[in-house]
Amino acid sequence: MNEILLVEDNPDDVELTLRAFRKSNVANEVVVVRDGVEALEYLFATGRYADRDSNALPQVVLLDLNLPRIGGLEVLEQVRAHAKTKLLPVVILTSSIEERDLVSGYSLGANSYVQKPVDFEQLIYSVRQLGLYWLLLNRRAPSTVQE
Amino acid sequence: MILSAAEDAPFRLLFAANPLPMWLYDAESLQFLEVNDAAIDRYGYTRDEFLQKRITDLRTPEDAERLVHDLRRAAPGLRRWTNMRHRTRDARILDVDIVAHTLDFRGRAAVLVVVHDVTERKRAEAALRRSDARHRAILEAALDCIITMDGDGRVIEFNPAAERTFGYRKKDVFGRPLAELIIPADLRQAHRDGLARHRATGEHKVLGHRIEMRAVRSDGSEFPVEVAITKIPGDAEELYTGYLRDITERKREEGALLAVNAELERRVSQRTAELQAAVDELEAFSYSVSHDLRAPLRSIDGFSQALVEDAGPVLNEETRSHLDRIRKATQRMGQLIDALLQLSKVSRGEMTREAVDLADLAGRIALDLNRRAGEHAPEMTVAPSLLAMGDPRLLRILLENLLENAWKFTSRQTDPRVEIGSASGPDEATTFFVRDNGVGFDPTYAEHLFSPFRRLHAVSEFPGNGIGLAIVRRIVHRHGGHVWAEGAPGRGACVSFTLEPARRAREDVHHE
Repeated sequence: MNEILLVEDNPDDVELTLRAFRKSNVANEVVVVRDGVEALEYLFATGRYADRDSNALPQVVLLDLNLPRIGGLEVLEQVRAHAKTKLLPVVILTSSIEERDLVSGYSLGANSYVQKPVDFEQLIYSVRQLGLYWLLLNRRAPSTVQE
Repeated sequence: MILSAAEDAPFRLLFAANPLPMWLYDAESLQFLEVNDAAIDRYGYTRDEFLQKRITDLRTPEDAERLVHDLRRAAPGLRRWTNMRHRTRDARILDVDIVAHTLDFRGRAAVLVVVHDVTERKRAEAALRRSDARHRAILEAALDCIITMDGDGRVIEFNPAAERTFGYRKKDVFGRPLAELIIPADLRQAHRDGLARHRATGEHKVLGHRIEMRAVRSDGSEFPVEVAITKIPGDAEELYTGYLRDITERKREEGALLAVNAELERRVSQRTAELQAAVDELEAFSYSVSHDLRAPLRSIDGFSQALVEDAGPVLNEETRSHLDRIRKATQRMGQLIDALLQLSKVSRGEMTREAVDLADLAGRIALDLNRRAGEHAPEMTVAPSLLAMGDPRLLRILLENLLENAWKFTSRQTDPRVEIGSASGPDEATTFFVRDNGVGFDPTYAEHLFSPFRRLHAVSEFPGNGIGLAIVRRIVHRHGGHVWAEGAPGRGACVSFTLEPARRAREDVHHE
């Protein structure tokens, strides 16, 4: 079972999201990276993550938009630009409900756009739905299946 | 002696039947001796009456004196008098030219007179003189320069206004080529070419139009003029008359106006830029509200919940209740932030204008509301078609808020009813309304309904964030309309708003 990559700079949100995964019985390992640069290094096995198997990809990427250094939308753009990660499921998980973020997110090829709710119970609900869909139900595109 | 044989045929032809009035009078007594038929006809006297008169009887008194004087001095032979005046029997005055010849008639010295009646010609000449005088007066008094040139382009008329404007005297410019006088050097060739082309082909560019061009004064200074040129058919050749007006002052005013406009334009774009900066700032602020203010709320709510879950067993009832209140408050603040964002969203952004059927829109929104309301769903009456011009997205948000309110405030009625309709106003706008038979409100506070976060009911009674009608008002105002509410406690509420009605065909109506 592949890991979930959580790209999130807010430690509280990291903590709460991890808690929500635990409470939803999502058993996948959750890898947390704190900014866009780190996220790209992880996905392309460069920099700090140079010793990672460059063919291994996470099951799904949960991507915040407001990130230090490289922002979420730019991460998404680079992910979609590379053949290896082109079809990787990316879910935007953000506070923003700005229409322009929604539009840019989808037009850059996000698979889903989920607003982080203030209500923790709703957050658990959202995470559970995400887990159900992206970890259990969704069949990944063959070219990105990594055994 | 020709006339001694008065009964001769030649006499008859030359004298009696001559179409010009003729007579003979005695050089001494001035008595008429003979008159012809034309004279009788023209002067109105019978032959007998004539023969009773003297020649001086035909004259006006002053002419008669002149005649006597002349006759005394006159040598025998042929005489002419012009500008004489004769009186007829009915006292009309005839202007006549006279040819007279002295001769011997039956042994007496006599004068033979042939009368040429020039009354009509004199009258026509006088009329012509008066007409010329009128034209002259117009030319002299005209404020515009009136300049006439002949077919060769030489000046033949130059009125006083032209003298004042160009600094030439008429007598100095008469007969000189117009081009060399008032047309700037760089335009002269074009003028000559145009005139030559016109004379060769009849083609013209300036006749009958009002054109603006430069002209030059006698001192060489140039100034702008407005010119209209007409062609006047002459006897031998065509003449061209130009009406010119010095428009220096008007040009200066136009220039000033242009400068003012440019300044205004500059200020408008500066203000627009300032406004745009303010809008950008507002947008950045909303964005940061949406992102940054929600994050700490999420932490407060999430960790309170974690606390309840993890430390649940050791917490007493009161502590649990406090934590519960913390969570409720954070969630409520989250909702308020969302509501504020929505309010700022309906205030920003481009608006489109198209025909929207509010009846159709209301039907779709009601479907959603009814699903949520279940058995509390009110009975809805909608007019068959409610066409308005506006932004479909904003009008949808407007109706959503009004209908949500109607559904909410009728939820406790046993027979909930909502009506959506329109009434044509006296002016261009149409009034639309959403009326319910719900709990209503105290009309004293009707205006407060539309202010953000002002509520007339406790949250515990009817949930809500107090932003719905503020959004409604913002949307109506952005469409240039008015909105107001009527109601009474327990008697329902009616929210009315005005929008520009759509006049386009039904096919163009926007359906989402």
